[in-house]
Formats: sequence, structure tokens, C-alpha cells
Amino acid sequence: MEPETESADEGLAGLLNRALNKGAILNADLLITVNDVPLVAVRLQAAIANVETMIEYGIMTEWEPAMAHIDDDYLAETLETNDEAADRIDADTEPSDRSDERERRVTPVESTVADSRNRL
Amino acid sequence: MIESKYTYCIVSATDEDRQTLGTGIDEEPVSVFVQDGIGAVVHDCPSEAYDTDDRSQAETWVKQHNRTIERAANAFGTPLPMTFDTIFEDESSLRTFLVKHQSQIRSRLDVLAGTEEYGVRIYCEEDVLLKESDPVSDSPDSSDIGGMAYFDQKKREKQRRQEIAENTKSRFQSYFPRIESVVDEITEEDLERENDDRGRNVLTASCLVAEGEIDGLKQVLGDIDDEPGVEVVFTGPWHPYSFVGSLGSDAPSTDTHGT
Repeated sequence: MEPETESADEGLAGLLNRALNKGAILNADLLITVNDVPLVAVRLQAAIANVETMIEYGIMTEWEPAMAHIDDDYLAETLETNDEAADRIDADTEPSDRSDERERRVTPVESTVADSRNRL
Repeated sequence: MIESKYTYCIVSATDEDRQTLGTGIDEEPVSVFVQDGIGAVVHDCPSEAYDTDDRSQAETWVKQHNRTIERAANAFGTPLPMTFDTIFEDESSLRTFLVKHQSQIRSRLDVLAGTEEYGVRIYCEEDVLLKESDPVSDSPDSSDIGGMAYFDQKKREKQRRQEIAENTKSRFQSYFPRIESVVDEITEEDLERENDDRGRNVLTASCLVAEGEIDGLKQVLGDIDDEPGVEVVFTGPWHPYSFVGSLGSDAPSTDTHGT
């Protein structure tokens, strides 16, 4: 098989990885530095980084603990709470067709839980 | 003040080679700074890193960096490529570096002379990896999502992940020596953690190969790529970015890289 050069996507990724993360490692004392650390193109590195790298460095992980506790007990409890709230609203208001509104209130919770289960 | 030296690579050069070498990053004129038979391919720049939020600009700069090294390689032979944004404080610090580490640089230039680098990544579909193990007992019952069934499902998923990890390792152990046998040097790199469309990354490596001796690697990778459920990503040739290692690490202070 033939190798891909920088003109192909895979080749470009290979070049970016090498030029930004590899190459000769020099002693820092002769390079331009801040607090003895050689200057690096921090924003450029971030611009090149993909989502996977962002997750690796913890930028996109905050949602995980928030979603991880959503299990069947949570689902049951949440739906029950919604039912009770809906019942209270029904009792406090004039009789009318509330079923649509109640459905709308519950549905987002169900879909959120279903989404989280798919991710777990 | 424009007195710093953005350095693309180091080459073997003589005083007669104090030539211009076209333009580099941002079309800056590139020259060869020669000291005792060693040349640094540089352009003059302010004392600040080339940095940007714009990915397209970043790619342009990296390509300009690499193409300048390419021109230097054509003129002087295999270079020691620098990482993007390697900037010496001034001409004096660059000269100090070249003088102080002359023998180390020469020896590295000799070792890498006439070589090229290639990148290799191998992916296996998860189904293929799982087929190598005994099937996991009891398939999950999707109609029962409550109580113990949920924990059973989590347990099966854990077991599945373990099997994939074990078979990833065994694939690596199978492929690595086959590739190693047809290259001059090979360096193993971290695997990608997440799956992509091609499946699970089971091997990532950079290979050093003598110029014109690439047929063996092409053959081995072609054979691996033909295996069912396996995909090989093969890139290059590159300058030996992954094999140049540390330079000047015997200098005093901040010596954290070793040799």
C-alpha cells in the first residue's frame, strides 16, 4: 500500500502531530522563555486539537458526573414527582384538558434519561 | 525587536552554504546560519511565539514550516527537524547552542542521514476483536431495564471492554514485530483512546526507513490492511521528527530530557 502525504486528510494530521509535538527537543535556556519554560503556541495547539483531546484534558467532562447518577430509581422518582406535581396542578385549576400540558412537562425528563442511558 | 531566530532545522553545511533558502513562515526570508560546519535554517523574528486561534492559519504555518525543512533537506541532505515555534533568543544564543553541542548534533546527523520517517496506525473493528474471545454469556434483555438486569448489563459491558483491551494487546503483539522486521527503527506511540469509524486503534507507531527501502514496509502493511475488519493508515514520508530526540540535554540547568 502507498503512504498518504500532507495533501490527504490523514497525511495532514500526521504532519501536524509531528511538527507540533515532535522534532528536536532543545535545552530551554537558550530559547525565548517565560519563567524558564519555552514559549509554545498554546492557542494554536488548541485550534489543532480535536474534541477527543479536549475531553482528555477535562474540558468537556463536566456533564458526565451530572448525568451518571440518572438510573432507573432516579427515573421512577422523577416521573413520580412530575405526576404528583401535575396532579396538584390539576386539582388547583379549573377542569380543562390538561393532558397535553402534562405530557409536555414529563417528556423532556424521559428523553433526557433515555439519552443518558444511551451514553452510559 | 526582531533579533530572535525562528529555527526550522539543523543541517550539515559549510561556510559557502550561507545562502538564502526562499521564504518560510509568513513569507519571511529564510537563511542558513553556519557555525563550524553545522547550519541552522532560520528566519529573523520578534521574541514571541507564532500563535493563533485560527486552525486554517495554524495549518498554513505548519505547512510553511515543513516545506522550508523540505527545501533544506533537498539542499543539504537529511535535516534534524525542529518542533514548530523553536525560537532562539538571538544570534548569540543560537551560536552558543551550535558550538556547545557540535559533536552531539554531528552524531545525530550521521545516524539519520539518508533516512525517512513514516507513520503507521492500525485499526480493528470491535466485532472482529470480540470474535477472538469466547462469546459473552447471556445477551442483554432490552425489555428488562430495571433492577438487577441493569447491573447485569453493566457487568457485561465491563467484561466486553476487558476482552477488547486484551485482544487489542494481542493484535499489537502480532503486528509490531512484523513491522519492526522491515524498518530500521520503530517507536511505539500512545493508542487513541476512543473508537472512530475505523474501529479500535490497536497500533500507532513511527518508523525510520532508509530512503528507497520502503517496499518491505509497504508490503507488510498491505498484507495487514487486507485482513478482514482491519484498516491501516499509512502516512509519509516525513523528516525524522520522531527520531531526532533531545539536543543539548547535557547543558546545565533545565536538563529534564536525558539522553
